[in-house]
Amino acid sequence: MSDLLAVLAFSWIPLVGAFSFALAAAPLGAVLSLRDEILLGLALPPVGAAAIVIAVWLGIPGTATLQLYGVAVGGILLVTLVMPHKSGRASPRWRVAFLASVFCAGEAATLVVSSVSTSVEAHMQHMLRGELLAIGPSALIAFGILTVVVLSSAYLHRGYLFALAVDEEGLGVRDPRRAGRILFGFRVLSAVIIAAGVIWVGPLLTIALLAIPTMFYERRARGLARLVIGVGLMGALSVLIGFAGAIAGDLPPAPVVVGALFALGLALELLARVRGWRPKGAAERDA
Amino acid sequence: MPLLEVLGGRWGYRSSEGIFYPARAIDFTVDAGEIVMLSGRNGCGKTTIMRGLLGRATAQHGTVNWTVARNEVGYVPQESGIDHSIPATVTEIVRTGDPARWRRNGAEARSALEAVGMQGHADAAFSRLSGGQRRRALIARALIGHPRLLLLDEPTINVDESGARRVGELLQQLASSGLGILATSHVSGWVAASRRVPVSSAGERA
Repeated sequence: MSDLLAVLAFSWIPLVGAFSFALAAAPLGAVLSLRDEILLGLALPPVGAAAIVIAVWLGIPGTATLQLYGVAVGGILLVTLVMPHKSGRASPRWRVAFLASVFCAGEAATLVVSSVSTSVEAHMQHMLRGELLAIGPSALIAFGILTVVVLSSAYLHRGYLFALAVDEEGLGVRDPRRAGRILFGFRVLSAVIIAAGVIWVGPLLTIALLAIPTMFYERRARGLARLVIGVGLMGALSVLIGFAGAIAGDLPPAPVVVGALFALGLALELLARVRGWRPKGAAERDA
Repeated sequence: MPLLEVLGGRWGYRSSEGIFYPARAIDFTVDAGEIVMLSGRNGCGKTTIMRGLLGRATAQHGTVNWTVARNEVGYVPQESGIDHSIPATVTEIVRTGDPARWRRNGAEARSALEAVGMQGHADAAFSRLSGGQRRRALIARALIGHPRLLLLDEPTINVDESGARRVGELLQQLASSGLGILATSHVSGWVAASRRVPVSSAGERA
């Protein structure tokens, strides 16, 4: 027990960072999934990582966290803005291929720049490997404020978030000018969260927190509000369990948190089957 | 004064070979308390007309006069417009019809569900409704915000005969309360007391 407390004494910063990130990332994953855009969650973290290593290669100090964060947000936002729109001429299959290609391009750029730049090799490997001990107290405070702002903003505008998730075209029909602004705001919000994840917890855990809670919980959720709250709690709880497991087993936290996400999801699935949980049905059906 | 007047209206969308106009130019009006049905076979351009009226077409010709504001128009998209498997309750789906007033529109959503006879399903999962119930829930969604004109795109697709009849009865009931209704449909007979406006296929490119 004393060993655990001793480890926590120097690892509480990454623990709090990852915990608060999970509270924002998992609900974002749920909304992306509802919009049939979960592949964005796969494609964008490598873009953020590539933007950061390129910036370091070009001379931005590896310790300038906020500058690198801005670069990652910019890179991610750029890709989401040039991405073919759902209602455009591009087919859904082409959009999937586009996002898979973006993932490959981001990974390739990161690998190439990492191999040719000594400063990237020296400062960025911990981030790319998802070593959560990388963030410091000042970054934690900045990102903590960011999390509060993002979650508050999402909560205040949850009607628009749900409308975007359910029927973007309907939103555009009702209020075309505002719909464009809302979609842009959502893209910025996504970029802000995903870029924070790349720096905080690395690309692997970012992708995992976006996808895994939604994968397990979406079919069981009884409503949109419960879905976003449920996946947020699932992600945050997995971070706590994963950190405890990593400390106990002297293992790297990120992959153990991923394992905890799966373990928690499977436990939920098992419990749901045993208890017969399912979404509430209609009292009568007329067809 | 009609709620909507279309004179020589013709809409097109961009295709790989230029702008495609699926339907011929059309004239019609929709008055308060009236049901107007744009009818024609599949692919004749009914949905393009509807999307054009809503400002979602690439090209527009002719004159369209609205005497209702944009926020007084309710729109029910085609059945495929909303993913059936979405894990939302019926009330949540209805409330997305007016997202700006999310914190205050709960009671209004319940009234809208009552208006379409779905008050017993408010907390049910949208994914577990039948086709006819989904249509009525989406009509309730369009009613939130008290529209004066309701636009429905193929409201009876994937709805069986009795479900279509119930949707038709609901539209008549809504029209009798003064709501103007414009719907597209490739089948007829599911709603009585409607004025039919035929849509003819053009299939022209420009």
